[in-house]
Amino acid sequence: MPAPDNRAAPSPRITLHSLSKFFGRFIALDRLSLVFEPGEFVVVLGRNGAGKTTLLRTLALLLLPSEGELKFDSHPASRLPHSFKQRLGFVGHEIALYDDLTAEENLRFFARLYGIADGPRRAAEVLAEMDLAQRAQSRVRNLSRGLKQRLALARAWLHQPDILLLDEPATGLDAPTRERLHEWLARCHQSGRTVIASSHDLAESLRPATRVLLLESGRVLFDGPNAPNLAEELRAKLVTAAREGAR
Amino acid sequence: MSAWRVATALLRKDLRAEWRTKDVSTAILLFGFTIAVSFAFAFKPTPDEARLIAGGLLWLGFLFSAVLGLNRGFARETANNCLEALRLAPADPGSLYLGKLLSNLLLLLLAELVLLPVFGVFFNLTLWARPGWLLLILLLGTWGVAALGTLFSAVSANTRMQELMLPLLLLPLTVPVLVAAVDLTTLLLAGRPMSEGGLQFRLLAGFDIIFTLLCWLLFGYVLEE
Repeated sequence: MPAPDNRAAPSPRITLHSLSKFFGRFIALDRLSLVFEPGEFVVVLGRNGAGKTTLLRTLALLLLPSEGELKFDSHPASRLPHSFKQRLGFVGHEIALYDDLTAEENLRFFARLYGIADGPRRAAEVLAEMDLAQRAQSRVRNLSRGLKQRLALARAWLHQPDILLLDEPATGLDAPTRERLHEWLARCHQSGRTVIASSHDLAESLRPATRVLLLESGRVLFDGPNAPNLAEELRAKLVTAAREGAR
Repeated sequence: MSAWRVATALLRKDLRAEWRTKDVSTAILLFGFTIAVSFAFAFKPTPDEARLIAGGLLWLGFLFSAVLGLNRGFARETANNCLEALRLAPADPGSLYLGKLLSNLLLLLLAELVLLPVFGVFFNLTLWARPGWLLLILLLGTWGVAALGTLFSAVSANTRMQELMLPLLLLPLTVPVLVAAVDLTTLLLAGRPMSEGGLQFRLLAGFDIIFTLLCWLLFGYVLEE
């Protein structure tokens, strides 16, 4: 995964003001007030059900807030034009790729949806960036879990968004590929992009991040800059939260 | 970004996937064939009776097969949560609707063209005496079914009882299409002048235009979680 060589347009500042998301009676996000500055690399941590996925899906405009406000710069998310989605790249829990199309056909299709001028060239470029060029003609259903995940990352990166939202992007990747993913994400960040990624793995996920957000029951348990010995502190907070949750 | 570009991208993607898997066409054709055989053995009509009832049986067969095809067609978007990737795209939901409508319409029409001779053989009908009128009736009737079916297949995709929900939503609302298309097909098979079906043609065209526009506008709400 070579470095993204282009500079991103200035990312918008993302502001959440007292934002809540309910699913029936379940409170997934509880009056979150946060600001993500342009060009930050934020890792979102938390136990299962802490609200990481809901937060990322809300930021990707896939979920509407139940209460509160989400703004990109000064624009409320609810009033953004469809074209704004050009600036967002999202990888969720599922790969969101068509099983019966090849890796290349999938990327060419999404290139057309995103209005990319030279879709076939860009698709080939991204496949090469993700070390998938040799599997370009393989149908997605025949790819391994790790290769599918890399292709999902390629889809999110195809239109070179200036905000990357990644929900546990290292899922299914082997150790060397995870290492390269972190390097690639660090370079995305260095090119001026905002990267917000969730993870379960404390030690590994913290390395490239500049800021750490720890969620518990839809609330912020910790929000601060990354630091050398932060993993231990966060682990202790998580254990305490788990004990309190069990009571 | 142009709506047409998005719609044709979806259409090409669906046709390519269908060419490889034959998922939708196999479902429609096998089910349609089974219905034709069942009706033929259940009613055993004389040639005169066949001309009277064949229009109804033909359209019931098309409609039931279409439900199966529409369900399978949208299953492609729910597998791997591909629908999420469509919602992430900077495209107007109306253009996504248009793409899915075109692919559904094309696949249903092609399947109907294959099923027509099957019904013709089992009911001893001369279907191609006035091919232009036949194709027009097929197009207008199928358009109405596909217009509503595309929206409702997206609605039912997010429900637990997906297979049941689509027919429950679609069949009652397509009654006007069914009635008009059956009347016109019966006129055609009876060899009567098609000018007698002016009202039914207007009804079909009006239904298609109104429901296509309505579904186009509503598709964005349906896609929201």
